[in-house]
Amino acid sequence: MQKSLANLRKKSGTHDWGAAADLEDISGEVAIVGVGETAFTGASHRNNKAMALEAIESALLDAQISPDCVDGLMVSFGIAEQLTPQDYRDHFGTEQDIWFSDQGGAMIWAATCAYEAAMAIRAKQASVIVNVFAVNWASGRQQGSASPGDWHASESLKAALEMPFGWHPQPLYFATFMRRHMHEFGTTEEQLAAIPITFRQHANSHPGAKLREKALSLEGYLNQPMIADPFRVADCCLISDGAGAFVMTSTEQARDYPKPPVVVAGVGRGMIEGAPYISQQKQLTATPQTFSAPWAYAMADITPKDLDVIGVYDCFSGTALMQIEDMGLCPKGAGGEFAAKGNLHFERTRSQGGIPCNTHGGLLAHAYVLGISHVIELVRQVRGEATNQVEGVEVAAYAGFTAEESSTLVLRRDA
Amino acid sequence: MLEQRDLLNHALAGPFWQAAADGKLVICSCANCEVDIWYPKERCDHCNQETSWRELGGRARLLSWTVVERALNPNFAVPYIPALVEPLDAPGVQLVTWIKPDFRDALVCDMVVHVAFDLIRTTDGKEFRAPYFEPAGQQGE
Repeated sequence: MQKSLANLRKKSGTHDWGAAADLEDISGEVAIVGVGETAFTGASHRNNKAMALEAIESALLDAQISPDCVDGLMVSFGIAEQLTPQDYRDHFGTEQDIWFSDQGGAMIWAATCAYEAAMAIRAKQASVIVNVFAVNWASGRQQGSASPGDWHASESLKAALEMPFGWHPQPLYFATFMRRHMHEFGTTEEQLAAIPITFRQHANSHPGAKLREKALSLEGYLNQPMIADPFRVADCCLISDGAGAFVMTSTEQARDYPKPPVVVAGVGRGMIEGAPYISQQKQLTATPQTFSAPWAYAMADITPKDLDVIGVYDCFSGTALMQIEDMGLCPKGAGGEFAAKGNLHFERTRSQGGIPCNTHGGLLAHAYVLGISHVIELVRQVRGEATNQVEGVEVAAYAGFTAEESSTLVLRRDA
Repeated sequence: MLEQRDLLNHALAGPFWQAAADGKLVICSCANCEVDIWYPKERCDHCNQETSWRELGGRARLLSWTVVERALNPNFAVPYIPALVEPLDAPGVQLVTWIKPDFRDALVCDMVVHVAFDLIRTTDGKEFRAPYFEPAGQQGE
């Protein structure tokens, strides 16, 4: 039975430093039926639109869907050169009407796009919706033309009250927050190291991961110089070129396609008070995942104990650590100790006390495509076709992040 | 990166920088509701009255900081230390500020720090007078 907003609000609780968005219950309405990616590289001078089309071709092939059956397209706003419906039609030589939304893509939107898609399918605006994300910031950095810090530098009050003190770009924000976590909870450098080291181990056995060939030991980690303490190079995401796409339909329709449907069981979205200024976040050792995860769990009728594998937005090791805590997978503040016990490794299943995390290597070691590959990896995990396959996956969750906002996407095997 | 004149003339943050040029630390507040409003706004969300600026005593709690060792931000020579502090007389307000590198080994979260004023110089030759903080008792008062 569908849960009311009042019910979801009650179940997910309230906080004094931010809140969850009122997302209606869409549990079970949509499923992911196809996933696809490009190669992930450094500066390649590939065009975002061309990469997006390549990822879509791959996703449609995976779903066995003909390009003329797609009638919905979701992309990210605010990232240059994202695909338009006309680009799609021109490339595939089709003529259909395409419902379009720029509230898709990656980061938090790799989760919330499933909610938007469910709403569009309910309203009969579309039936087969592709969400795609492409980024070429590796090329952009080389050319000095585009970088992850651009938006932050352009915001007027950040420019007037943060930039003059050099509190920019993002590694500095989260280094500041991570130091506070170390102070409040006694988290150590060695414990923090477990996050990049575990994700690197996953990348080392994952085809396509940018750092596949590069091992990372604790000694190697500790020998790296600080960038912005307590962060070293290995604590910070890669900068990459690449694209990913996934195809969503109603769950009913999803059962007509060859791959087992991966059902969207819950979606949550949370925002801090004072957004977009995370300098004003009143809880420096947590993330808005605190608000989004309980909402998604309530919608999916699960508790954190039900999760078998997770994909966590890991722009920085510390951000991943805090989001894992905020998802309720270990007590608040115990994330360092939890990770240092090896609990995030793909072979450490729930029955063994672990929660496999970022089994493709994440933003730290697979590629910086802002979370779209996290969702794609989770779809493969739920299907049972991942490289670093976790045993017996029934339920998976993605934790998306932008800084002032987090999102949560709960996926499960079709009943 | 803004020039000093852009900071002084900034629609919302200008008074902060004008006060800093005079060696004062101020924040935006609503005199009517007696609440601080940070980041600054033109009008109070509650009573819609125009906001004003109030001067602070200059003592603050050090929430956190980072020592930047690599030139992630080309405007600043490394090492430098951006920090977050909460003024003792404006609880709930969080100021982005800086600490001089000499104090890097003396810093502990939650310690009391004092405001002082000096020029910030960027690598491209801009300079502006800005509040910074240092551990209490370090100013030779």
